[in-house]
Amino acid sequence: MLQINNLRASIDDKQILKGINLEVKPGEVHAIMGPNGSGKSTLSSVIAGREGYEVSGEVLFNGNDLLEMAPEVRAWEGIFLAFQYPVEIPGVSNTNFMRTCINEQRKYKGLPEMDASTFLRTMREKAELVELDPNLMKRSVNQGFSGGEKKRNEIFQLAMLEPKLAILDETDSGLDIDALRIVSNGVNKLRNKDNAFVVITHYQRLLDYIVPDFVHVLMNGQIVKSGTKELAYELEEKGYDWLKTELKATV
Amino acid sequence: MSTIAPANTLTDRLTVFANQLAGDPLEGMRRAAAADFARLGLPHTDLEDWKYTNFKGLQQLDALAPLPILDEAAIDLNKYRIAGIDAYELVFINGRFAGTLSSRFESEQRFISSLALARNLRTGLLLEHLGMYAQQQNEGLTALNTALAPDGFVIHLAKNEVCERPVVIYHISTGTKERGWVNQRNLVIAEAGSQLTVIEKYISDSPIFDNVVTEVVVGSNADVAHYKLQTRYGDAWHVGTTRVEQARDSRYYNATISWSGELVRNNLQTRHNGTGCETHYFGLYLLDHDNLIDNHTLVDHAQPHCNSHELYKGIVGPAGKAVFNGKVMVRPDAQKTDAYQSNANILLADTGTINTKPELEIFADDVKCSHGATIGQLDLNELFYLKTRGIGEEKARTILLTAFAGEVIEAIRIDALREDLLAQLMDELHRMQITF
Repeated sequence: MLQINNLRASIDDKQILKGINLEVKPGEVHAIMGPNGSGKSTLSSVIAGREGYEVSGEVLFNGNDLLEMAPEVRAWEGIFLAFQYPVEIPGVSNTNFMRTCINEQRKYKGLPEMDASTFLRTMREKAELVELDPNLMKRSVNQGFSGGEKKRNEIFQLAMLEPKLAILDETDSGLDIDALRIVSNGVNKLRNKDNAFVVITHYQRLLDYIVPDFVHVLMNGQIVKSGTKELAYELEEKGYDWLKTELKATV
Repeated sequence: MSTIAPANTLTDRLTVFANQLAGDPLEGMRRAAAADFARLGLPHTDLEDWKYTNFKGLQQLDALAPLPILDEAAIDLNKYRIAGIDAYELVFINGRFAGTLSSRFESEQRFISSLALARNLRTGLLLEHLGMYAQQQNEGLTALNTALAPDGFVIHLAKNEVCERPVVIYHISTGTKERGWVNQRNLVIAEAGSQLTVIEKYISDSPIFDNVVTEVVVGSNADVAHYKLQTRYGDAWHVGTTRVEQARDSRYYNATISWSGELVRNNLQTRHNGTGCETHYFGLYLLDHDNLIDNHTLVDHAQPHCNSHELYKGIVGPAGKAVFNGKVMVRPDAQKTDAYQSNANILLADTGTINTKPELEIFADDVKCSHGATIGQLDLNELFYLKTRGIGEEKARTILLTAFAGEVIEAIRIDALREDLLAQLMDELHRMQITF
């Protein structure tokens, strides 16, 4: 589904990603862990199409060149980024926002607009999935939301848009254990054999709830180690310094 | 070649005009104003108040040249009507009161009609109020208006009269290719405990210059909502001065919406003459070509325990020029004043111009006054967020601009008018996106 070959990215002449290789297949969950400043968020930004990066290498999404696509086209093709810091949009209600997103996607696929009753029913169902207060739907996107509500709103949007590949950028950061459980349950219910998740996190704790098939460690702009979920436990126990030492030894 | 300055020509012609006034109850006032104009002349950019707004084209115009008189029956008011509003309607075409298109109402309690008719029907009211508030002594165009405005609207509500239907004034300029003047003089008197909503809608497909002065008196505990719409104003020039006098415990609520017109200057001034007054100003201006829209506002806190709240927002395209000057005067007696002012602007390109100037003059010490002025661009984080959800650049920008400007439209308290403007706003901003 997603194939990343030798992806490099820099901003203001500062090299952040230094040759990333990664393959994600349908039905898989990949966790990307790494210390601060290792390039995790840059990776998600580059995949989602944020401007301002100098990018080289190749990112294929279902065989198509992702880097050539505008961010909205990537979304229509099935990429979704759950933001580490969801953006507040004053003056745009959640409901109108979601209706526009859904209908723009449907337009791209040559489908007619979703009728109002189906839309409202779908909204209700998906909001329940992440236990989001229906009253928040009338309010401006993320404005005045608590940290947990913002993160749940991201997963709610994910549920509405049904992407093929979802990237969760530190969705667990700042969540208490109840909110973490709600968010994870939502994600687990959305998992199926046709979609895939890339979960970026600082904390192994999240991976108790969203169990990954693969764990990758990103350090200094490169994936330095890949393994199964046991790798996450090892990292939790020994810290990243252990890995640094081990890497030096290998060199 | 004549060496007489064009302004003097106007003055000379004013004298001729004044000599025809014999017997008019307003003669004294008009003569005094003509003298004021002779002294003040037309505004120019050397005056601090007109620094950024150049009306030099006025010098070439003849304020007394009549505009074509059109057959009222040939005007289809439905083209201009605000849908879904049950209202009194006063229609002016090229400055003339169109009686057959208007729904006049003239009773003891409620007078909704024209200045020309009020001259006989409300003579005392005019002599008591007309020209008493607008600053003709120091504003040339106001003096000129006082001297020769032939007509306008007059609304008078007697004590405790609640006018449940809004009054919509359609000010239509059409049918001429030469730029001509309209001097319109309006008066609104809402006596104690009364309640009124006025909507002024300026419409033009002709190169008009509208010089409008409106005096509004809000009696004690009375309530006036006042909307001024310049949304289909073509390439009109406009100088409009609205002067409001508020008595104790009164409320005045104004929204001024401008997204057309070539050269627009809106002066909005309110003075608090008693305690417990409440004043709200909302304004929105969108500049989509090389036009100029200037809003000069004043809230004169002359009495204690009064509140004012002001929010003006603007979106300026690559060739537009916007001016905002917001003066808040807090006089020594005006303790416990609570005044808030905000002016927020979005520049669509770095070639647009905004001159914004908050002017707070505070002479009382126990007051709460705050202001903020911002000039910025669309937030790139917000734009990116919308795009990652599958909303394309153009649509995303339109959504964000609509949300920004919508805050002002949302302040409109008449549902039908608010919905009508919101729908138009989205189209207008979408059009602006495509144009650029």
